Amino acid sequence: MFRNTNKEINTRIFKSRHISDEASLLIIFLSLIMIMSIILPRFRTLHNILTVIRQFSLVAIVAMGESVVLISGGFDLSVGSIAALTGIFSCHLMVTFMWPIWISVFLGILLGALCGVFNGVLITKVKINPLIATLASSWIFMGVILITTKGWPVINMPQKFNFLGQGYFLGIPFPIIIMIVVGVILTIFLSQTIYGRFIYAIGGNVIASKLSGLNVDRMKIIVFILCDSLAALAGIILCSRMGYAQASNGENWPLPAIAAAVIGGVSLSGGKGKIYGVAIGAALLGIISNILVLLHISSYWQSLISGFIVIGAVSIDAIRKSREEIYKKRRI
Amino acid sequence: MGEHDIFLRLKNISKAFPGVQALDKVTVDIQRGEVHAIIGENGAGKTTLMNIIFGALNADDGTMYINDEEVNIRKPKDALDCGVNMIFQEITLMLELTVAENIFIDRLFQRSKMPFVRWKKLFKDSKEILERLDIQIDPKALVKDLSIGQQQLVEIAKAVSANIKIVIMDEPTSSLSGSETQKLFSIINQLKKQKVSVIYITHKLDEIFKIADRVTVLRDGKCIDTLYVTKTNKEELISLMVGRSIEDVYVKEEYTKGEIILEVKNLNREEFFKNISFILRSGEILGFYGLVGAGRTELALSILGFYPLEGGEIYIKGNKVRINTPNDAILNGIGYLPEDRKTQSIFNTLTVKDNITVSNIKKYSDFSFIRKFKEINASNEYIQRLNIRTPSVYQMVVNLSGGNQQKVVLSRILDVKPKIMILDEPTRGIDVGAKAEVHQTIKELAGSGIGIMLISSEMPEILRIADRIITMRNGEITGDYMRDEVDQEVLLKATSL
Repeated sequence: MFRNTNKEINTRIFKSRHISDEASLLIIFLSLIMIMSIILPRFRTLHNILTVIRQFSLVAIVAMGESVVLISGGFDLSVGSIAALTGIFSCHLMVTFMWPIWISVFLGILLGALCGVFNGVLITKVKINPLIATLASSWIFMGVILITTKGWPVINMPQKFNFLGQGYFLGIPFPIIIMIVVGVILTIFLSQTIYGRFIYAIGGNVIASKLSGLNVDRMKIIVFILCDSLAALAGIILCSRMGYAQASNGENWPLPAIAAAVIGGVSLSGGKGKIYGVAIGAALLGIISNILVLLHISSYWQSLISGFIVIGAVSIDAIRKSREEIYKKRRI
Repeated sequence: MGEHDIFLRLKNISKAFPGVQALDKVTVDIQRGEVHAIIGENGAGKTTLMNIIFGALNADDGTMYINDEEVNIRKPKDALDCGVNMIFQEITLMLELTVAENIFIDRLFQRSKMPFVRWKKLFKDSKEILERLDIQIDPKALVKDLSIGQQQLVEIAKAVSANIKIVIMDEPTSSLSGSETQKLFSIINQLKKQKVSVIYITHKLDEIFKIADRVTVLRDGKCIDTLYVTKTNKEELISLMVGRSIEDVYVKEEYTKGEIILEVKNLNREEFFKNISFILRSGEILGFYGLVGAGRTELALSILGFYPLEGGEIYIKGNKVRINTPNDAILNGIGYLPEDRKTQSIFNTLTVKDNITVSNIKKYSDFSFIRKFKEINASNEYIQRLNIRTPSVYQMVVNLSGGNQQKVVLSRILDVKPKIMILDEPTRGIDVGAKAEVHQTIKELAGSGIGIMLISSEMPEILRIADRIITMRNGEITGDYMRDEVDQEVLLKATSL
């Protein structure tokens, strides 16, 4: 009477899913690195590798925060403006008011968190679509910057502040260390804590989450606080790295961050994704530009090639999904 | 209309789903211009049969003839080419478009040589079609501005606007008011005059005697009989539908009356229900029977705090409680099993274990960190207790069968140790074996002292396991019966419009 076929179908689906999205991406990524190391000796020098990682580390931090929002079923386009706003705010505190560096940085991140509350409340309480809400809020944040700074950059930050973006710890650039720490903490947060479970649940099925007694609105606000604090962190490090804080800092972050997340296996419809996948996604985008430089290909090509890489990575996922659909249909 | 004027003939159609023979050698013929009703309990195979005729499903075995020629309908397009169309229960119109556009949606461009819509002709043709069917709706009106009943009429106009010989209607009156139902019947009569056959699936026996020429009774996937409506009556149809199993349906152990665990007084929410008062005792299975749209699910979701109430009081064990969110309901000991698994209860992206523990995950955590071994042990306990068939706790829940998914959701609710459980269509869409297991589980839960509100549209289910039955119609309670006071007919009378 019972589905004796159930078990064998399950094992079949297991086999088809044996390689997860993230793992197949890792394989592609590692093979790319291997090939490049063989044909480009300059690629595999420690110096080059650290430079590349430092280049994408800030986008990676933003992308990790963004991916938490995406997993919860949301969307955040305001990370670029928030990075600029909080960077300028922190530097302003240090330069104009001579406040201690660490307090200024802390307050900058706190401002990022407040921006997250603003976004979260717009989405959960005013019930605006996340895409529109964060697009509007990013313009508002940018407006605050332009009105207060009149477009002038903040410069002459204290010498010690430069360590954040330019310093080395045990021979490793400090931004890389921050990226790794953020990645580890977020991985633990998502996979080991109840909040992580709630985020996957809400992104997977928001009605079921409500009916299962989860406080969906609160969780969504927390997710934006997390994402926008990380955007603030990255924005402040960028100021330290560049030596100045201005409105255009971070303006090119939101879409690459979302692209890195999607390449890394995060589902735009929510409920799915892993932090290490996002890190690989960001690394892939970062390494491409490095390889182009090393191969003496004009940087004009970078945009074109990055576009095809996003399509390639995402279509692998789409092909896998349609194959899973076929398996599921056979069950009916 | 002679015996030989047969348009569509189905011969020995069989279809199996895993664990259940949905159709077993069904043979039916449909005459030209007749209204042919198909009746049977839920799960009898009506919808499966219609989906096969329409090509949405493919039969395992059997042949179809149209005008005595064998046809091979593999997909809905084949059916349309043969002049067969189907109107589904759910509205499939595009709400933001006009009535006329909806009627001609698949032919907007074929109607002119240029890639432009010829609006004047479109509205004129639509008007003709609507007038021919005697439907008074402006073809320029937007579908979203129409009532559900009017939308259903547009759905019909759309279905018959092409050169259609047979139209299948799946419970067309389930969302229609009394006058709209009359309208539908006059449309069906118009279709008959135009020699269009109508296959009419329904649960409402009265309608058959008003509109149908012949009726076919299905039971457990078998074609029991095809009768002329003039030569049968309601009682005969009911006994054919229910069959011999009527005896074992009524087996029910006595239950001892527990204390009153839930009492609601004058619950109101204008758009869904009004003046709802009832009590639920511990250890009792209280059935809520009514047609789809009677307001039962909305009542449950309002008690649960998912919809705000406009008035009324809820008492749990004699204490007045305020429930504003589903979480408040859980804290007050109310567990809810949602009506629609796919959209309301299953987390497709999570594993079996995650799905079981999500409501009560705090119990399996220290300082917000999940203790995986505790979680796995608890999940395995539920898997054994409810006999959930899954290779492991790490299996993605979406790979389980419907019945096993339902048991996973049931585990989630049991995990919060409820005193009251609201089960909304707990066996919808799951196969017969799993159904019996779910019923058994519900009885055991009641036996352990939980008060259970069982919302079901399946009469045999209500009669089989409920101790007491409340009937609802149009958002109001129309009856409150002890189990041995009622039979199918009483329930039908108390709930049908």
